[in-house]
Amino acid sequence: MPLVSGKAKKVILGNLGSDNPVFVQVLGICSTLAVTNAVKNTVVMCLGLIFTLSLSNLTVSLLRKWMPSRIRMMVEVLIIATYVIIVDIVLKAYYPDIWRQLGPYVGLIITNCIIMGRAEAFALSNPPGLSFVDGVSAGVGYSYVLLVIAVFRELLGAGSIWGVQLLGEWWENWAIMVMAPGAFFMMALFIWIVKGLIIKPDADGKGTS
Amino acid sequence: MSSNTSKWKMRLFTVGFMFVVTFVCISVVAGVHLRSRERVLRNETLYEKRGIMAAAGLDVPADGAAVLAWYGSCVTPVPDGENPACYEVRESAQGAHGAMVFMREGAGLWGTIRAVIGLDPSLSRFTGIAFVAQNETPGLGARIMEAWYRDHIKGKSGGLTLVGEKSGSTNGAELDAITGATITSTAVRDILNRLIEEAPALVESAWTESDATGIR
Repeated sequence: MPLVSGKAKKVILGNLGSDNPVFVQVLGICSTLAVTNAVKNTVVMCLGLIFTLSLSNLTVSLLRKWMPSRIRMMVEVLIIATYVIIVDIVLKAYYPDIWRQLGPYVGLIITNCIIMGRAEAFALSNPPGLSFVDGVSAGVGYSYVLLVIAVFRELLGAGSIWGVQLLGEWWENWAIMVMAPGAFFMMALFIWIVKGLIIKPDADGKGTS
Repeated sequence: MSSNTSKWKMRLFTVGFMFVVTFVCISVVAGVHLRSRERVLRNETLYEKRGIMAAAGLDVPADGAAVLAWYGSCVTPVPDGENPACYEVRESAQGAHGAMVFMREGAGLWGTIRAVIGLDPSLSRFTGIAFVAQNETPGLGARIMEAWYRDHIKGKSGGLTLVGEKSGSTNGAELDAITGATITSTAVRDILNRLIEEAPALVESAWTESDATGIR
């Protein structure tokens, strides 16, 4: 048996590329814009999201056979919120400096559309193992996009990466890159480049699947 | 009849399911909260004490226990109680009076800026500052958190006026502004100016109150 079954491979590749939650589905944009002005914050945010997304997918999938459909969204939000609050408390207890910098954004993972989207679209109709794989890969798909944006924003906006000054005194910081508009520019450029060069549209104008 | 019963069974199951899931989720969160509560509380007091140490112009050690030990032997809240007006910081356990530290706040661009600010014994020069809460624009106003900005406030006196960023001015009455963050720079200037004006009266009344309660 291969290391990754065909179905799981398809899920992973989809989440990383042609079905990526950020640049194809354009979900989770709130946090993409908000936390990407420093690489360190972005990494913490991404880890929090991967944790929440994979475990909430797993839990929803485990409960899917008993979950009454009319209350499924309430249950999903409750499960997601539980994991997010755990992330928040753990950060507060063990990484108080990062917790202070991220401020309300950790709590806002609850409203990240990717998590609810994967629970609804995938975990409700797939077995737990595959749902977990889907959660992790969607989280990684989200994370690498954020990291690319964060590296450019921090480098151009503050001359540093991970707080380490890389560009010398000659560098004039582009203040706009660390503010919200810089995030919109970077995000748009990223989508433009990826969709224009890498994901070629089909004959019907939609992305490849 | 039987369809009615199964309808009720379904409803009961739905309510029961939600109840059980809620119960489990709340128990997990409560458990994690209780387990980490002491750590979180310790972090919060430690954060404030680190701020006081930085405001007194001292190097803050990374080790939390060292900060707590220093605080225990060198800092006296005046008056002692829930919300002291200021903190007297001695140079060492039996040492001379080193600095008076105050918690101050003012309106920034997006929210309140809260700072811990130290003044020398004559209450005429700043010994240091630490910002404990701010919501200024990242990359602009939030640069008040950067070391060069905090450090350059040391030694300044009151009546501050703003000059250009990184001016290198050694004039005690000139404070560097941050380019692109006029409102934040002005807010910090005002917090500092107001403190130096009010400090003598504040300290006087704090000691009087402290004497009255007989704690000193």
